[in-house]
Amino acid sequence: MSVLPEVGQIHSMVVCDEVTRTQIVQYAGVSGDFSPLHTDEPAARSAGKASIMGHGMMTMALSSRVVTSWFGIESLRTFSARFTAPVWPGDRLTTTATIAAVDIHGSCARVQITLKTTNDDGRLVLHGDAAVAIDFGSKPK
Amino acid sequence: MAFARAVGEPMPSPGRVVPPTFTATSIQHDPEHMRGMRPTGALAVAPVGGGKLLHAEQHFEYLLPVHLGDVLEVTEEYGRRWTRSSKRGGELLFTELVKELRNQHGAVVVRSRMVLVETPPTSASVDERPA
Repeated sequence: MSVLPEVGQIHSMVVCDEVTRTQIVQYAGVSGDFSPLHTDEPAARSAGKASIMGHGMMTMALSSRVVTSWFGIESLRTFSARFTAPVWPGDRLTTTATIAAVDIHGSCARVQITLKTTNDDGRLVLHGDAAVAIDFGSKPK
Repeated sequence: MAFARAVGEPMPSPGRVVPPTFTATSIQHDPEHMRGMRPTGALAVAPVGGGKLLHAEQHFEYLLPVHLGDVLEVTEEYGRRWTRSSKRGGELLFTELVKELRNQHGAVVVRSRMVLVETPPTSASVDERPA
């Protein structure tokens, strides 16, 4: 458990070095989302896409690690994401978490976090937010 | 384990709290899903006539931790529906799918809200990029 973060504090990490078609298919198998847009390149092309694309939920799962590695899974209270652009094979994904607010009530803090995941072109592929609860009274720091 | 492999999470161990988006894979427990290549749930509403169904937003609310070994029951229902004009012409149709997951003790552990967007078949792709 970390000490209380400060507003404006940032954590950034590469959450995927390179998205591959294999990983997209792997996530399809895990999630049960076998949409042709994720699994069938010719079908994706005929639907006007450059190739198959990654699942939004795959990007969300990858992006979540910035928050869970910082605060732990059990601290998480809400997690939301908008999928703002497709993720393509070859993309390297970087997620940046920024502390937007820290509200303290007694020995509990509610921390609001803004999340942005971008590819190497700087294009935002996921824009999200999360809230974590930290009970800093009951745990040694 | 397969989930952990796909998204780079540590290998799961009994009693561990599951990753935040893991419960979104609950469709895997529907024996009819993808039988005969036909999806159930959110993907079953894929548009006819060549439009594209995309996942626009996902929201989770965590009420209690979900541990490996928990048995969850999912209820799902459609929420709001609305339309918005597409920048490329035509209308975008948004649909919400709201889920509530309860554990084996009857306690609500997770609520989720999925926003799907159906794009018109005629609109040019807004996300073209050379492969």
